[in-house]
Amino acid sequence: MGSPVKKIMLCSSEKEIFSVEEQVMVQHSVIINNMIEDGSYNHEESKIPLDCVDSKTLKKVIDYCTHHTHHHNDNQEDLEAWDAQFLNVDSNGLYDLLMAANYLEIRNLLDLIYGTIKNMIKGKKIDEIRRIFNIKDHGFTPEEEEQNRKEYPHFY
Amino acid sequence: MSLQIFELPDEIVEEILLRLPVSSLLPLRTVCRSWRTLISSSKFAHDHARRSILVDPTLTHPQIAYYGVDYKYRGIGIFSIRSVFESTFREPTQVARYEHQTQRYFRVIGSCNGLLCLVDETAPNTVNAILWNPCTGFTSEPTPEIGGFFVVCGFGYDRVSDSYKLFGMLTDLASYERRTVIYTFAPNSSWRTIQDVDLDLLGPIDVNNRDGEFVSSSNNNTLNWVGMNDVILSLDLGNETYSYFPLPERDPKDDVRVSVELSVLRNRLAVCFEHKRSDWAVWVMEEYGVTESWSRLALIPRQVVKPNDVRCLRPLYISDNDALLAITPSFRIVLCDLKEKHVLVPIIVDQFVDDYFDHYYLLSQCTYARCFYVYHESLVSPSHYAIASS
Repeated sequence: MGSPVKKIMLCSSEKEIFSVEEQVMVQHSVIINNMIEDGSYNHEESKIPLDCVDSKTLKKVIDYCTHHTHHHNDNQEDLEAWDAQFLNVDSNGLYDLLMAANYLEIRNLLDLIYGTIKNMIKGKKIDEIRRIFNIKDHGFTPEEEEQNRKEYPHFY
Repeated sequence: MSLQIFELPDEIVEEILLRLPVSSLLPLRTVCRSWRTLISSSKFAHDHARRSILVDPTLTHPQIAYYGVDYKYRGIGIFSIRSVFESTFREPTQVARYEHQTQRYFRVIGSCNGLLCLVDETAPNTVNAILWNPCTGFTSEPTPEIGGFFVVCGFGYDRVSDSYKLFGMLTDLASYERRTVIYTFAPNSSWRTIQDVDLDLLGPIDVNNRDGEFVSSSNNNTLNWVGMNDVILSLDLGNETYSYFPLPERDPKDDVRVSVELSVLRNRLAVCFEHKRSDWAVWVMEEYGVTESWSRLALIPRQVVKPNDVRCLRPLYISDNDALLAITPSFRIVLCDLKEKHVLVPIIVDQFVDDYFDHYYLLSQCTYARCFYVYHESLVSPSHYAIASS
């Protein structure tokens, strides 16, 4: 029998505690990897407070890291199908995941989300993109806006 | 997914926009003033170009530009590499043609960060050059004219001075005098004479191999040519000095009369040469300038071996799943599947207009002499060179 799997504690904004395999988080999160490496995490007592990540999002993030640690040898198609299913969330969910992945510096999850948002932009009209990104004031003068519309009529 | 509201920090917006192709980014400049500023900035253009060269699993950016060596085939043809990989009889690759309105003859001499360097050789015994981004349509002011014609030349980016440089060895047709020069693209720039190339090191030069291959490595940015006695001659664009290093060791049975071709595959310097009168051997230099790091990428069976062939297969691009796009010695375009070991001729349609007729060509079947250049679509503008990295 091998030694018991080392665990770390993550604490969500609702103060809910999640116990995760250390290896899973170290592999994926630059921030957690740094905390373990520089010794600022004490396995006996400490938990890592993640004040800007709620429980629902943290659970998703842990799911992602766990799956990608244990299934990294799966074929590419299966992994992509899993990722697509994983990101089948509403835009608030996607936003929360993006912010959590950004905070924890989870590179491959960030890439995945960036790619998803990129695909949301592709082929969209300008007004729709302004709505997606909540851009209320585009900052162009009416003349400039007129010019924009003339230059890219298919995007308006 | 229903689309709702995202209010994202600027650096995240930038990360997302960096992943879009140029054709999508240009209209996005009208979303708001801050997006316009971001997308129009030199830094964004260069970050975008760097990323699209390094990470591009869907082959959104790589393109091929070519021109006919014969004056009567003037104009530049451009097609996307992805469309070649996907071309079918029903949906062949289409070539976009760029004919210059004026009766001038421009040829490409190199590409870098999505910019093509074009040389105007219309007038006898005098040349000038422009930079052109085919994707955005930007062109630079022409360089001052300089006398002679380019025997050897090359174009690349020097990151030491953060500028684009055109290198050339010129011979004056009247006096036969030789002069080696560099032009740094910047306002009010001029041609500077530099140390001559060692002609003993330079191999036989013709129109197909006079343009140096631009290689960007972790240590330096260089232009490279095949030299005499199985060496590669290189010019460091930073300190403007020459050096040379050996090709991979040849087999005694190789036909050394056949030329050696340079290219860049997976961002590394690559060479292709004849191997034992039966194959083309493609090698890449994993670490630029380190001879021990030559590694053989592929052996491709020579389809037709004629005893007098002296031209070599010229690799242009290799996909992540080992499909190699190359030009055969008779200027046909082929796709070599290195895994399955078969060779395909993709269907590429080129509409070519000359003085008398409209012609439709199956470009892949054309055998007139042409020069091909790979470039990656980018936002980089010739005017960016004016913004030094201050």
